[in-house]
Amino acid sequence: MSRTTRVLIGAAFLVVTAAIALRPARDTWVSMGPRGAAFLTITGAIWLQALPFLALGVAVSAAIAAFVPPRIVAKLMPRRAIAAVPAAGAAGILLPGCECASVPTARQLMRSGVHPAAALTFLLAAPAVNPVVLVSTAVAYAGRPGMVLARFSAGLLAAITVGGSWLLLDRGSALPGTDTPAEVPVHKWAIFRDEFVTEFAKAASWLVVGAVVAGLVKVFLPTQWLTVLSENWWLEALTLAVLAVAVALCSEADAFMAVSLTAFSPTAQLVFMTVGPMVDFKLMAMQYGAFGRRFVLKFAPLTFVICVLSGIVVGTLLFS
Amino acid sequence: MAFAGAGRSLAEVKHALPGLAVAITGMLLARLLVSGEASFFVGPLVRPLLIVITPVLFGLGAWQVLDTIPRVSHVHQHSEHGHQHSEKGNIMALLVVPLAIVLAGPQPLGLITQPVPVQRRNVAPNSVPNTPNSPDTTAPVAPVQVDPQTGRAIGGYGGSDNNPNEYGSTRNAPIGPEPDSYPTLNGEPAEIGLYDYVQRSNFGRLQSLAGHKMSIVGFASRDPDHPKGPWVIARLKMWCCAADALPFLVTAVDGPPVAYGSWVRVTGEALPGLPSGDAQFKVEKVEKVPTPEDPYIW
Repeated sequence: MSRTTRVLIGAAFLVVTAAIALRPARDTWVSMGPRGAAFLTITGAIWLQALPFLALGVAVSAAIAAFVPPRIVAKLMPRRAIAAVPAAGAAGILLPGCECASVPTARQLMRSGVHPAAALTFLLAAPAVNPVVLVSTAVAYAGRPGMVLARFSAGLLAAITVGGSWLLLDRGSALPGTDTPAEVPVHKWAIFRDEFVTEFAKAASWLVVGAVVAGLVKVFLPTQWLTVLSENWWLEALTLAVLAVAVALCSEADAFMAVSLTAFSPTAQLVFMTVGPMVDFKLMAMQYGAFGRRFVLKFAPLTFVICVLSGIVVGTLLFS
Repeated sequence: MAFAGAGRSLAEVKHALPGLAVAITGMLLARLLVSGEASFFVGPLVRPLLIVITPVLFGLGAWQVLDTIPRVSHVHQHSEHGHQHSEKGNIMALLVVPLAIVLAGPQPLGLITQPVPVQRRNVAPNSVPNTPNSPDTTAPVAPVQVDPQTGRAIGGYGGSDNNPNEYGSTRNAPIGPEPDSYPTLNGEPAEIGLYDYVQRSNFGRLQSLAGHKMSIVGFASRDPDHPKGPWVIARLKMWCCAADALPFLVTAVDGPPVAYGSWVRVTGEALPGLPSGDAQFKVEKVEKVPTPEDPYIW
């Protein structure tokens, strides 16, 4: 590294370290009023709680990039896309994280040659049907195991349906940022580090966008309209679907919010838990960072509609 | 010559930046964990995970900064015609937001020395339980999202959305099924958790506590259902992070005025819950306390 670079980096590091240690703005929090303070807490909380899961996802994807040759990953998946989509949905059960972990992992799968539709199915299924999420749902809905089954079914149904639709809509064209990198003869751990650091820095930054939007919505949007809208069955499902997009909760915690929405029917609550892990502001921000604007404009509405329908279908079948 | 050198420096800085960003994220986490402020944001399920990733982030980030040159070619290989071209400017600049949040001093315990504007604003002219002339304007403010003016969780979904038949008090978050057993209480006055008290009240288990002195720690707040009535002792129950926290409240019957938002220990005796399911407590003494290390119920 050149001397100039070293001086620049070192200076930046020292300034930030000093700021963190000395905290020049430390009384700002209390001067912001209850709403401003709540906004800071909620935004910080959403960002912080996502980081470990983001790190897990980035570590998995960096490990695949560094240690697993693409041809082996491709071999694990069924060759035909039609078979790969449901297989990817089922594979989602294996990633014990929330939605923040699945974005980088899915992108890495695409880079390793997995069909985009299958990788996207995985992206959607993993945060909705993995064991951690199902257990937390069971805890939130203590004594009502039907909701766990409903969540699993609606999540898997939505993920596979979106994957199948993507197959029809997009015919397997590669997404931006997913071309297979040429194999460079460098140390594998250095590849891991490079992948981890660049991915994490970027995803954590996009996460800020999502956390700020979700914090603003949660603090500054009046919630009275929620109860007004809970009179008509499809309107209430749609209301909770929009709420799920807006509040951007971690899929491991959203069941606790869902169970508190007791003015709404179980089906509407199910829709909330089906949409939340698959479409929300922080996910859209992360997907924008990973795959670009055109992808988000197409993928988010598609997923939203299919999730709402899956939730309504499964809820109607199981709860009435 | 100098020009070429500057160009190379720029490339190196650009490449080292993600490393710097990740290392600084690690430092932010370390700061929040060491100071205990992490518990103002996330619950005990997430905190151990943060402890695990903090050294990883710092280590990998620092390694990236110190060891960039040999690997520059690798990263550029796929970044050039790939995922980075949706970016104009550098997205990593957004990490200033969490940095600012940490610098803004989440719940600066014991450090506020001047009057707190929050509480000035909270003193409504016709509110019953306020302390406009309270000498203590330095009380810590709840690091939670209840608006102390109304007692409602800001942006929360508890309260009136709940079905009283199923969940008890409408001003609380859903309480769920009754626990198999309650913690044993020791001492006189015995310290009882606010959530524990609300549960006992909700399920009609307060008789065994009759005649005993107890103390409850929470923050003072206005009752959302009776804004002009007695204030309530409040605490939020958190599952994953502060974004999903929901309130539990106990009415402080006969409580002397306190500043909304301040953390208090109230000592007194149990009172039976109201038909509405709201829990209440006969207050004999109120002391200000520092914000608990774990401000939330979990």
